[in-house]
Amino acid sequence: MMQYCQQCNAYYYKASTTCTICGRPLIEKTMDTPILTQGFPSVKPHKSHAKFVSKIFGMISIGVVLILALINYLTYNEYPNAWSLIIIGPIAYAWILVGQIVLSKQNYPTKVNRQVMILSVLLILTDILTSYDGWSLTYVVPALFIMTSIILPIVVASNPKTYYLHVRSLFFLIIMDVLIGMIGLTTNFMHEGVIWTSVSMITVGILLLITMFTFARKDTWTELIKIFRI
Amino acid sequence: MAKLRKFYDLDNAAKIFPVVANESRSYMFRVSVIFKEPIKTDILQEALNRTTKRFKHLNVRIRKGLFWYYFEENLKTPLIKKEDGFINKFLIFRENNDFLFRTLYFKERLSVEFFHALTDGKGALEFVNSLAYEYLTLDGKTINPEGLVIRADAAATYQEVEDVFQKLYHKKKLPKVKEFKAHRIKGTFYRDNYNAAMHAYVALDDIKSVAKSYGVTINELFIGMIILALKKSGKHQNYKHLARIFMPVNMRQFYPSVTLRNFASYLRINYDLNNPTLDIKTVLDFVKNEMKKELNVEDMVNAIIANVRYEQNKLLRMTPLPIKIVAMRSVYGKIGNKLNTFDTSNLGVVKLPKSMAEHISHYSFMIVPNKDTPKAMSFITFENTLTISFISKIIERDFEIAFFEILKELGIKSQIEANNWEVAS
Repeated sequence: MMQYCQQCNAYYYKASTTCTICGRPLIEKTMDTPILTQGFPSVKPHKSHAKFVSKIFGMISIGVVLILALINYLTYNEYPNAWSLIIIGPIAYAWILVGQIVLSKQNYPTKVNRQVMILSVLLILTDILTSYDGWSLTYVVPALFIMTSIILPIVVASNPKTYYLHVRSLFFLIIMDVLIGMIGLTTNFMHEGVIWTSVSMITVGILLLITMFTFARKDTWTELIKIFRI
Repeated sequence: MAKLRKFYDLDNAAKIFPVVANESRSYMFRVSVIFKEPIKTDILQEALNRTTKRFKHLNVRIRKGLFWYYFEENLKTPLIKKEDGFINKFLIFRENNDFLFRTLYFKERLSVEFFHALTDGKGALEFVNSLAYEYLTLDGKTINPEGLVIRADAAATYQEVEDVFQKLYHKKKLPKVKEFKAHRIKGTFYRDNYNAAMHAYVALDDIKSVAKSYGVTINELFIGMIILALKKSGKHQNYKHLARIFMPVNMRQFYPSVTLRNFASYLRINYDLNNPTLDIKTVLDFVKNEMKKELNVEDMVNAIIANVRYEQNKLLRMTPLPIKIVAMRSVYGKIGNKLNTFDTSNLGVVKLPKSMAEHISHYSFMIVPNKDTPKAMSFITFENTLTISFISKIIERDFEIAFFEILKELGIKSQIEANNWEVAS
């Protein structure tokens, strides 16, 4: 025995009481059917507590940032520097850290590269805001990139099967090593006379490239073809 | 045999999908096979692992190059999940082990939802049939494939992953085709991008005899019924734009190919809803004539070539992907699906070995609507069961009521199965 809608000439299996099409009540009627109907699972309304919590923290952060910036602005004649940035910076960084590193589902080399890039930019900004001395570009940023260029390939190499997934991240590091190294050699943004950090960066970058082609020539080459294919 | 590459360029039709797909425009479609016994998940997982490895073009993840997206071999294991009630939901690849298709089960039903960049309906059906075959075989059923299903241990060929669009390309001048906006179905959208779905199971013999009595094909009959249902459900408003019914056309029937990637063109039947007639015979005669004009192979190939031509443009090729993405999204945002009133698709008849068919109840096939084209309808036939699947982003069901009125007038009874239309409203 099935349920039947006279209006739509449509049959329903088992528990239905009203017609899905026209909303009218169904009556019982016999029909032989070979069709197995499973129905569909009930939809659970989507509620995201995480979003709500992030909205609250977002509002608190915006409030703190605005209040600090306003106080800084109103007392600028008395204290003529951008002191509020010392607090606003870490708040912004905390958000970037959560969004780009903790919550992001990117693979770990991408996360590491992002982290190094963001940290470098923040360090350079701090250097600029505290009467630019060049310590960031001369020592700290090169140290960050050199360390990453040494440690990341070792971690990637620990699982050779997935090496191909990370070639682009390693390539990005090489480009950054060479680019930042070249800035040191060709501009006055760094401490005068200190070129060893720049030379070290370029050397590490080139060494990384040679290592990739020595140990995984085919995979590296194939990945470059994939990425740069026009 | 040419060596299978471990990475693939996206075919011409696929290039747009990863760029413009989002929560409200998922570009997913679902093919389901309903067995006669409940699904055993451990066996299904094993069958899925085997079948996915065989179908190289599906065993991929999508990545961004500097200039184009590309597919590369996915080393992870495909997942199976129990259905959650959402149909053709936007697929976040990372949450799906990077695969571009999701495999779902619910009681006796096995469903695979594909991102359209991977394959078209025919390619998807081959995969689902192979998966069903592997599943039944692993479950201890003895099946002679009779050359109708691809076995997981059969060798793959280069032709299966071939981008046939590129083969059709030529540099001859193409006639200009002016496209125009279509009438849009309006209504109240469900929240959370919910797609309300309903299957109507009808007897193929009934449909065939009705189509025969009007001297039309099944596709023409359904397009005519869609037009008439749009007319009836639209009450007496004045229509500024034509109703444009969009239907993909499988090009393998004109250019024999075994490719399992996208190889479809499309046609549109345009109808002026201001036309006062409510007579199905008149509408079907109109559709029949229009179909004759629209089913012109040369025009359909030209539509493909026009798209391939954009891709061949040297300047465009050398434009970095992020710029391409911005440009494509902006163009698509302006035109996109505004050219269609209603999307429909017929996957045709599923042919299975006899010893396999006896374990299967029926099939279903569902395409996905979007905000511009909020209702869609699709068909698939297995043995004497033709499954008509309605899917809607809007709550109002005037169209469906009108459609079933027409079915009733034609003397066709149906069996209904639907998800929770009201729940997510």
